[in-house]
Amino acid sequence: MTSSGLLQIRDLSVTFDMDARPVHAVRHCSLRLDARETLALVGESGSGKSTLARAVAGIVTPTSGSVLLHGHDLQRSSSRREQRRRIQMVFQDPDASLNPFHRVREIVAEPLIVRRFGNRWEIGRKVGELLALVQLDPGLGGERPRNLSGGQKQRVAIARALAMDPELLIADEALASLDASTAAAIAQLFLDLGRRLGIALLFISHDLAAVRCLANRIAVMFAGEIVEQGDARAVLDRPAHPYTRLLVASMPDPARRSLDFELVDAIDRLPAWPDTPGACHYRSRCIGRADVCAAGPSLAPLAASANHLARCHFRDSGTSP
Amino acid sequence: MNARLVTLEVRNLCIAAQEGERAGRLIEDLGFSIASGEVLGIVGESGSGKSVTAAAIAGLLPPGLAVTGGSVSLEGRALLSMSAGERRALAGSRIGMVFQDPLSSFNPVRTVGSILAESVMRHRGLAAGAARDTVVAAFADVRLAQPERIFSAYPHQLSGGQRQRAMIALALINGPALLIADEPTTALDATVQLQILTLLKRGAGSRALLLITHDLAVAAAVCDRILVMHRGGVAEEGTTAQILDTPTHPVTRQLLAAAQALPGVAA
Repeated sequence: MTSSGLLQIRDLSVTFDMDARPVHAVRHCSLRLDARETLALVGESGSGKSTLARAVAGIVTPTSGSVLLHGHDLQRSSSRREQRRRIQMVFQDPDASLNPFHRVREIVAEPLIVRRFGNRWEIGRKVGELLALVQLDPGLGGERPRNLSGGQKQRVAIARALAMDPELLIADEALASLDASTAAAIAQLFLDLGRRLGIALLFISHDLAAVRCLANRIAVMFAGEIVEQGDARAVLDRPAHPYTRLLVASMPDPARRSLDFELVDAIDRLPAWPDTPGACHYRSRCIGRADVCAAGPSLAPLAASANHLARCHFRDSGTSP
Repeated sequence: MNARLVTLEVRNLCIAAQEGERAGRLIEDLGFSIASGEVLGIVGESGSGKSVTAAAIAGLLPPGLAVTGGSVSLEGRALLSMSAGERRALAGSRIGMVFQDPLSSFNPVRTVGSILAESVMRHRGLAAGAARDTVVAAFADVRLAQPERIFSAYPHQLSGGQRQRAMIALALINGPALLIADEPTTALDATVQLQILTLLKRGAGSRALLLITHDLAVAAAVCDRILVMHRGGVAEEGTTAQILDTPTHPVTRQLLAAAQALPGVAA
């Protein structure tokens, strides 16, 4: 933590009330993202990755902790409106995020009008530039979302996000509902835009295989906590947390022609484990659990690499499951 | 492989849409067989006809579609010439089905347990108490924790993985000869996908398993043989190793590329 970087998430927690019971969606997460960096946040449904992203984007209010952009606290800073604008989000389902009654050029122009970008002529020209940037046929400017393909709609959503001139673009499962070739094209667009415009990218994904192509760095979430983070290659090739190992083993791969029956059996056969406060949250599923796991480990660096962190007492053993 | 019994034999199958804009042939002259203990994967893009083929075998073709030629035989019995009642009885006991989305295939106002119990009572003639015990044991077999609790749960109260396990329990409960799984893991997280595929492969055991999927990586992990469909016909068929190592049809190569996550993208 020598330089402040672009984005810092500090000890962030988000707790929801469901039927008067607290649900800890995000627990004490800390992360940093440098300018131009590409980070992927991976985890299963319900692991808290989208809630964490929404807290960063200011859509969800953190229960505790803070989000800093260029060192300014987004909750407190007097310029928070201006700062917020620098973080934009693209969602999984463009049908839910694009107004069906508006034409493409109105959708992209709206944020420009809100930020008082300029007069009508200037806004019209900027919309044209943005559509070119996302490689959308300018002739589609007069269409409504329903007349566009899934990939085209996602390009409109990206153009709208770029209209705010962001420094960080969050893609929340933005490729998940696209077919393989369209997903690849949109992924390439994100990466190209990141590079050309100097935008940092945060990919939220349940798909570890896709993330391998996208990110320099990976953070893995489980039960609201970050359980592992490090360089993408290190996390995927030498996963240190048992959950990451299971994720890697589950990655669809045509080269692997059998299933790891033993691993699945071992997990399936685990007896229930009482949920004690303070214990490791992965313990109920972990085939390597031991008595020491009753005290939850903290996210700590591996002995072999200071940049590679895991929340497991056995992070250095390399042999635990 | 020769020593095994042929469980399912499909010959010259033709399926056509009868009405409207979709009128025309959907499946043309399709043939394949699956032996007991064998796993065949039918792989193809959406619209290639793989799900329609599965539906025709199970007798679940949607209205407007009809078999216009060919034959389907299960354990030597011709399915297409049977009466609807005969066929339903046979399908209920000898064919198990697992669909992509159990939430839409389970009746939402009935408990999961009662849905399975009804199947056991109808096809095996068990009384309610014995049926309940059978269902609870079946839930335990598919490694559902707290099977008694699952019995009285409604479909929406279960997670996607739990619902798919319950669906597999239902498919296996009457000891079918053929198990058909149509995109069984498409809606699931990767770790749950691994668990469900393991369960299917284990559960299939000595039965014939027909796995329908768009994902060659999934087929590679589970199947002995793979049939690639394209526009209602066979693009190519072979052992899993043949299809993956020496694909001859362009569609197979496309599916192989698609099975790599984000083909061609480099960070």
